[in-house]
Amino acid sequence: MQSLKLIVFTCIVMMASCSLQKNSNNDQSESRILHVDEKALAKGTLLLHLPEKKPKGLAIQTPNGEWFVLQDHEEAIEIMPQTLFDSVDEMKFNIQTLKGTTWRESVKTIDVIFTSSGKYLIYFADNLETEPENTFSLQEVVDFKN
Amino acid sequence: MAEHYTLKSGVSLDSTIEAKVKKLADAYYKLANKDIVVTSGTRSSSSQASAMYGKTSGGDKLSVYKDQTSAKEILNAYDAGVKAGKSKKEITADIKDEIDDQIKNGKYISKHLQKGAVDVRSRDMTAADKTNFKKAAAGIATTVILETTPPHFHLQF
Repeated sequence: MQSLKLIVFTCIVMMASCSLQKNSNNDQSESRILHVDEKALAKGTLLLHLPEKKPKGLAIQTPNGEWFVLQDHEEAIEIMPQTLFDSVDEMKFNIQTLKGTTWRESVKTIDVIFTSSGKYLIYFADNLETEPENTFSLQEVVDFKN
Repeated sequence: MAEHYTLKSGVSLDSTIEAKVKKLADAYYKLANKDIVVTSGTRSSSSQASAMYGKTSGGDKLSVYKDQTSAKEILNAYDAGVKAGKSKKEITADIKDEIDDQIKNGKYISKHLQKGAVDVRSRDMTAADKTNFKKAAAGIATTVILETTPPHFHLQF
């Protein structure tokens, strides 16, 4: 049963094209606020250092204003199991393959997020459909060069 | 007749506001043949305090808040609590007291601390749906704002 759980977990993580870390030795992991590693981004990796307590959802806004949802458990949108999402203090995603859920002309669509250069908003919130003032939320803007 | 609105988990509305939401949802359904999802309602000061404790304890300086004076007062309450060695529960209670004082003075750190504040899902609407939603809300809600960060309609009844 444990082996099965491990296999299922590994598959989910591979599908999400990301890697996760609970105890990083990286200096930035000491920071308790949300931090996006710009150096890693330039090398094609979205590396997020997270505080111990973080919101339960994640979305990214592209330079053209489109929103991609990556984690919204209630809406069955998950890049990883919610319990794992809640516990990790670092997330690492491959920019080339990172996909999220968006709605185009009302049609739910899953697509690659980082397709053009510009500023991307990394947005964590308990509620992804209300103002940041009205929910536990953390955000950071990163400049991505394609 | 089937209802044309659903409340996202954890959202509750008082009966007066829910009646207005129902009226709006029925009007929108007639125009767009679609239902609406209510994503947030009025928030209590204790719930707001809990969310703000999460932000401040994570090192956030509350820069996202439009009312920076009120945000600074809350940050000060948090810092004072930490300095005094208070527990999470005690600090959250201090933040709640600060928010309650602000409300007494007519200051709302979040629009959802005001009675009648409601958010509705917009992310799955077409441009035509959004136009129809605004039409449906006219005369029912006093304010309709299409927020973009993150996307949703904010209504005040």
